Parts: sequence; C-alpha cells; structure tokens
Amino acid sequence: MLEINGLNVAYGDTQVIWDLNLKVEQGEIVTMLGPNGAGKTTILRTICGLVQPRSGSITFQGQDLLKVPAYNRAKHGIVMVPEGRRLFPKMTVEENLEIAAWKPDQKAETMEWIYETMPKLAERRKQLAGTLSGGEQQMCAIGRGIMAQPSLLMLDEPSLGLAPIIVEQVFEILLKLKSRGITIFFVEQFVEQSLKISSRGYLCEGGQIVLHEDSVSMLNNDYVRQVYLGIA
Amino acid sequence: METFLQIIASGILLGGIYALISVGLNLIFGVIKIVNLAHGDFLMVGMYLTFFLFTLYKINPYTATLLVFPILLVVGLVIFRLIIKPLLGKSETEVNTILASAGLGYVLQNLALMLWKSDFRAIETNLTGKSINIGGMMLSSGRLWAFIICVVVALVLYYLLMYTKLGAQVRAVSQDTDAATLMGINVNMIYSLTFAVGIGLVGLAGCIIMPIFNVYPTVGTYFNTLAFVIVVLGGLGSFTGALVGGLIIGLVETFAGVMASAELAQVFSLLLFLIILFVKPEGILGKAARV
Ligand SMILES: Nc1ncnc2c1ncn2[C@@H]1O[C@H](COP(=O)(O)OP(=O)(O)OP(=O)(O)O)[C@@H](O)[C@H]1O
Ligand SMILES: [Mg+2]
Repeated sequence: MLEINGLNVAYGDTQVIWDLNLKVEQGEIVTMLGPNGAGKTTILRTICGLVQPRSGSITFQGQDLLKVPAYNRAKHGIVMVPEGRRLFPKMTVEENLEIAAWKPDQKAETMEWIYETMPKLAERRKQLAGTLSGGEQQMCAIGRGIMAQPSLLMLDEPSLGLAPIIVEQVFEILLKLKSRGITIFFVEQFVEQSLKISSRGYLCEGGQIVLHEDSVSMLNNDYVRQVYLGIA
Repeated sequence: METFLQIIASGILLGGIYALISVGLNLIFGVIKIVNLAHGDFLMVGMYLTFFLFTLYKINPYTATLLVFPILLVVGLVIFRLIIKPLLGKSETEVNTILASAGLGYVLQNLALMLWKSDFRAIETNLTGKSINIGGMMLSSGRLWAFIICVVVALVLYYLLMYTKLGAQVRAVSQDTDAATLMGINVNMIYSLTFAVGIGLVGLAGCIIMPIFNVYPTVGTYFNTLAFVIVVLGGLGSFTGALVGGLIIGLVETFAGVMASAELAQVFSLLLFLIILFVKPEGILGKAARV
C-alpha cells in the first residue's frame, strides 16, 4: 500500500533521515518506535508532504506520492493525526470534525460512528477545541482524521501526555479503526502496548531503520528488551 | 441632551466607516500573518477610481462599488502572486513582507502623483451637503449611506467566515496552516483569496468615503495610521477587533472634534491608543476573538 525507498530528508544542511526503506501493507497496523530526535515525526511529515525529501521515492497504492501536492494527499487516502494534536483551537469540536469531511455522502455516517465510539466528543460537540482536556483533544484529533476518510491513517505519538487509562482507550480506538478497514501506521513511545496491537514494528534510530521485525519477534528481541523495555 | 445624542450618532457613523477601512488590513494580518503597509494606498487607488468613474462616466460612488471591488480584488490577486507569495515560508518573512508592501505603497503614491498631480480632488454628488433628520438628530446623508454599506459588508463578511465551508477553511488556515494542509485545504489558495478580498474591501471603502473625504496621492498615509491604530486597539488579527476599534476611534474623534478642535481629535485618539496599549497591550478584544 505504502512503500518508501531510499528516502533522504534534510533540514537545511542537516540531514536527519538516511536512505530509509519502509513498507505498510493494506489492513495492517504497523508501529514505529525510536528515541527522541530519531526522525520519526520527520518521516511522517514527509509522507504527508509537509516536508520535501532530498531524494528517494514514496509510492502509495501504486502512485508516485511525491507528485501529489500536500493538500491533496488526504483526498488520496493518506491522513495524519499530528504530534501535539494540532486541532483548530478556536473552532468547536463539531467544526473541527466537519472541516475534514470532503466526501459529503459519508459525512453523517462517519460522524455518528465517531460520536458513538468516543461519547465524550458528542457531549462536547459545541465546545471550543482549545478548551478540551488533553485526552479529549486527542480523541477529537483522531476523529478529525477519520472524517477525512483515510485508507491509511498515520498517528504521531497519540498517547503523548495522556493518563494510562486514556492511553488504553486510544489503543482500543486504533483496533476499532482497523476493523473498520483503515490501515494504521503510528509512532509511539509505549513500546510494549504498541507492539501488542501491531503486526510489525520498525525501530528508528539516528534517522535510520535499525530493526524491522514482526511484533512478536521484536518484543522478544534482546536489544529492544534492554533499551526500550528496561528488561535485562 | 440632543447634541449629546447627535455626537454619539455621528461618532458611530464615522466609526462604522473607519471599521470598513480597517477590516481588510486585519483580515490579511489574521490569516496570512503579514502586515500590509500599502493598505492605505490601495484605499487611495479605490478613491481615485471612484473619482474618475464619477467625473468621467457619471457613475454614482455607491454603484461604483460594483466595479471597484472586483477590480481591486483582481489587483490583490496579482500583487499576492507577484510580490507576497515569493516571500512566504522563507526566513524573515515578517520583515520582508513589511518592506515589500511599504515599497509597493511608495510606488502607488508616486504613480498617483505622476498621473494626477498632488491636487486635492473631491466629488459633489446629489447627497453632498444634505442631511437627514432622524428623531431630531441631523445626520449627513453621505455618512449615513456609508455607514449602512459598512454594516451590510460586515454582516456579509461575518456570515461568510462563520457559516460557510470556505469561511471555515479560512479560519482553519488562520489557526494552523500545517493542520489545515493535512485536512486537505490548499493554504496558498486561501491566502491569495484572503489577500484579494482584503484589498477589494479597502477599495470598496474608497468608493464610499469618496463623497466624504478628499483624495490626493498621499491620502493613504493618513488612513494607514488610522487603520493601524484601529486594529491594534481592537485586537490584531481579530475580525470583530476592527469593528470595535473603528467605533471607539470614531466616537473619540467626534467628541474631541466637538469639544476641542478637529486637529486635537486625532491627538486624542492617539492618546487613547497609547493608554490602551499600556493597560491592555493585546488590544481590547485581544487574542480571544481571532477569526
Ligand atoms: N523544522 C526543523 N528544522 C530543523 N531541524 C529539525 C526540524 N524538525 C526536526 N528537526 C531535527 O530533526 C531531527 C529529527 O526530529 P523529529 O522531530 O523527526 O524526531 P522524532 O523522532 O519525532 O522525535 P520525538 O520523539 O522527540 O518526537 C531532530 O534532530 C530535530 O532537531
Ligand atoms: Mg516526533
């Protein structure tokens, strides 16, 4: 579905992504782990078109994605829930959801599904997004992403700064999205939980993929256990 | 008592006109985050267009809005494409756009000076010098019409921004360009549209103030200062800020003009401006009310 080959990305003179290859297949949940500053956000932003790569290719459903302007990638099925939610703070929850809906015929059904799956959002639909709690904001950001009818939904640290119980809810929502037919590629710090809901994992360090395995092997990998799970 | 009401009414009329002059400036700042120092000079262009449409073709200034608005809209699109867009998203965008628009303002002023000399020009319509008696208050017909048009424009603009899909997209872009892009909004298209509408609106303001004020090549400088005071006073980048700021300055100037003199009126509004900046530097409506 998504295939990245030989990707190099730089900010000015500083290269942060080195010759990166990555693949996501239809129907999967794939996670990318890695320490702060590894380049995870940069990879996602490059896939969305917010950052232009120096070289390499990104194809999505057989199409050369680098030829598609960033604002059209959502319509091709690629949607990101960005790091730090990035809601429109002075718009209501409902306005935030509506603005993403570009397929009028599916709007009502999708919104209903979102309100059913995340009842907190239904309660707060007339509230300004900037005044929501962190957890509610994350739900709203995910909801906004779903409203854009993605075939591939990417999430950048959706659990950042959330209480453990909310984190669990977020992971449950990801599983529900999968059964809705949405492919998921997400970046996380919660290594164990993330791998448990994923089929495969990538480990990104210093702008390179240093490990790529199916989730079970990754959970049992000595290096991952030592460095990321703190198990000797 | 009667004169007091009369002053208030005149102040509100003037304030509405000032608000319309400033609203485009604040729209452009609020959405694109650039300061357009040529704002007043586009007002000047609108006024000259209105002047010549009236003197050469007998087109009434209010009818002229139907021509001048679209003309300046297109001018805005072209200026955005040629001058503003190349400066966006680079380093030093703020400084560069300020310098570029200031330069553009000088070019417009000098073009006007070259083409039409420095003469003060005014038009005499069938409303000139007429007043309307409303509940014992004598209100200038020209100002009353101008005010009515300002209210209509403000309502239309508010409706478009708050209740249409395009308006929601404009608000989204003003709040977070990256998130807007991710949601499928063409930020550059929204920018050029906003810039064009901002310039179109100040051109329209030029039409409706032509029956009230003289036009000359540097008239924009005076209104530029006024518009900046108004939007900073009301709240930079906020749509309602221009309205509130306009009304305050209109009232203050009218009162000061009656109590003291017309020259002192401007001193008073600048004084009030300084006081409010000290007390509430983010403007009266501050950031809470951005578009
Ligand atoms: N806009 C930018 N300009 C310059 N350098 C940047 C920019 N954004 C990120 N970087 C640098 O690129 C590197 C990768 O950053 P990135 O945000 O992609 O990492 P990350 O893996 O998402 O980190 P985190 O886990 O902290 O979110 C870092 O060294 C960072 O300082
Ligand atoms: Mg990151």
